[in-house]
Amino acid sequence: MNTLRRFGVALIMIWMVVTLTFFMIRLMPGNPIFDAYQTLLQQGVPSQQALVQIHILYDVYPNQSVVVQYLLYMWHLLHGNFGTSVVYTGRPVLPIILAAAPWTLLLVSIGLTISFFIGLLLGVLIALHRNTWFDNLMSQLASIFHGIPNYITGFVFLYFFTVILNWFPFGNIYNPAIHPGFSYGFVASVAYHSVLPIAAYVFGAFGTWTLSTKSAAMAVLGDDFTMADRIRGLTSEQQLEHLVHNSVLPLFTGFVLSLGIMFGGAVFIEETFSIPGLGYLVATSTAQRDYPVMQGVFLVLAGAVIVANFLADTLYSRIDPRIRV
Amino acid sequence: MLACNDVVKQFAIRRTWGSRQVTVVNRVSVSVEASHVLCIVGESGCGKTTLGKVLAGLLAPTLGSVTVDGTLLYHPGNKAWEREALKIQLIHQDPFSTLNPVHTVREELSLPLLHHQIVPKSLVGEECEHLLTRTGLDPKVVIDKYPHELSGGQRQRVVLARALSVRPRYIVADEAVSMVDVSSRLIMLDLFLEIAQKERIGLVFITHDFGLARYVALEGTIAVMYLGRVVEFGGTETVIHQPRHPYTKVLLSSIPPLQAGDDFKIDKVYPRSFDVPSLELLPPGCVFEPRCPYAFDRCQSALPVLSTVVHEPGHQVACYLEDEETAVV
Repeated sequence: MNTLRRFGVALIMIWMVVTLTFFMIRLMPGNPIFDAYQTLLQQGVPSQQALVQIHILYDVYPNQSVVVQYLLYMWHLLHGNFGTSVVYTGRPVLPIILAAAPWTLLLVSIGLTISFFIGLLLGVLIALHRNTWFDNLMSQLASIFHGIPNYITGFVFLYFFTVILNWFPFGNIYNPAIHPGFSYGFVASVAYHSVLPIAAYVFGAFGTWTLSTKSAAMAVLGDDFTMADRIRGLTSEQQLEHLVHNSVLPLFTGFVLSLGIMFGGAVFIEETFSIPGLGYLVATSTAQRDYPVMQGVFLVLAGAVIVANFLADTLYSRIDPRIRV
Repeated sequence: MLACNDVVKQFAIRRTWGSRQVTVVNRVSVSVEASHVLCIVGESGCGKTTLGKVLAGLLAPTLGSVTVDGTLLYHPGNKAWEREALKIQLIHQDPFSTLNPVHTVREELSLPLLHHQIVPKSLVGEECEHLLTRTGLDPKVVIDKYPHELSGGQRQRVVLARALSVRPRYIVADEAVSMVDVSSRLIMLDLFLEIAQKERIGLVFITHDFGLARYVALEGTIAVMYLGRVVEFGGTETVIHQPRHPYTKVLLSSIPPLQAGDDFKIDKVYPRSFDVPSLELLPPGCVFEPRCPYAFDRCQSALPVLSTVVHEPGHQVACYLEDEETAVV
């Protein structure tokens, strides 16, 4: 019953996101349909004919009221139809998103996992060596890396490793000369191209995890049960296991939520390294006011976050006995 | 015998510029025999919890030594003492943070049993149930529960069972009942005493409450601590009915009587000030001098040492008034 209720809430939230996205992107300055219409008029096409042409090209009735457009959009959405792109004329939105998603998921999930585990390791180590040079150094470094936005890190990495050292390739996610497929060459090429973007992501993200792990682990170390482990003569490995287990709990929700947010892609990293992922799609479709694509990407992103939230709540009660959802 | 000899414990306090040492426990020597009770009484911040941790083998003393049945604890370079330290178990004040929230009672109890191979692996479950039964819990009800599903009293019983699981010879109970519901406090105390008696466990009972101290250590000894030092030491009845140190008198005077006329038969003594001096800035003479209603000039110059009261063997006081009285007599 509770799960059912939360599922209903999730659906309502998705509907609200869809509605808000629909209206807000139409409030943005710039209108691709209007531009196309103007262009046709300048080419000497009579206005009535221009409207017909636009309808054929974009599957849009330019004079329709926004409310009718909204209802039509919702109706199509309920049938799994995300519409067709305005910029890539005639291409349905769903395949565009599906083509972009794997690259984002690949980069961000690997980056997220690496940064989470680096953060966990460093955070626990810092908490264990409180007030030593290691704590001072690593806490400062984590704060600094936490503060540097990842487009700066990405840019520095790009310049240093591709232009100066020439160690890594520039742009794209695989060598276009290699035919995509599950061949060794293709996978190796993808891996080679992913190193820098993943590194940029990790450098931007590990600081946050380090600092949150540190504070969680310090709270656990201050709890009397840590002392109770010691006084009962448990080994340091057993104590460490308890420390890590109890410190991870407060981070778990953040981690699962990040898995949802990752569908939005790392916009700046994907732009810097020209990776055709979801973040790149967000950036380009917004720049070109490709309404259907924007709506589609935002819907996927919001849906992923809502699903992740649902998962986090459900899973959290499994790993922490104190929580009953 | 669990004993500490001339134990000093200092902590470094970090300041913007460097750090400074603060002496939390200062030259304390106390001891307790098996199946005896020692109470350490003092207000918060007097170092009684730190002393408890030093006695339990959790903190190394800065100076001095702790011995358990003749074996020296904290032997640098010799890890064997850690095994000896198992003989002393500590029971914390807060039964809510001393149990790991993600472990069930069974996991909590069986971990040390398995690790130290106290009982054969096949008997671990049985031993857990036995421990719970001994502390007055129904194993069937609590064994698979998580700490948050238990009441404060139940938790403290689990903590006691956990302490007993490693077969200790001494238990240091640090304010062990102050967070238990008032209604079940006496039952918990009786349980402590009963188990300590039965198992011949030496009990160090740390409290701020003279009433509790008197109940627990009726046959035992009381050490009154003030700002890291023992100011009075003696048999429970002696300390409570013939207190010599002004601080002990102040503490006893602060006990609210339950009934008119039910008061202790001592004269009420009130301190001159209710501010406890900072450990970082102790007075040069007797540490109690700034608050002592009887202080005279000698108290400001040097610290009185703990010495036996004349004609009262086993009763020790650190106060210059003793010398004065003897001189007068």
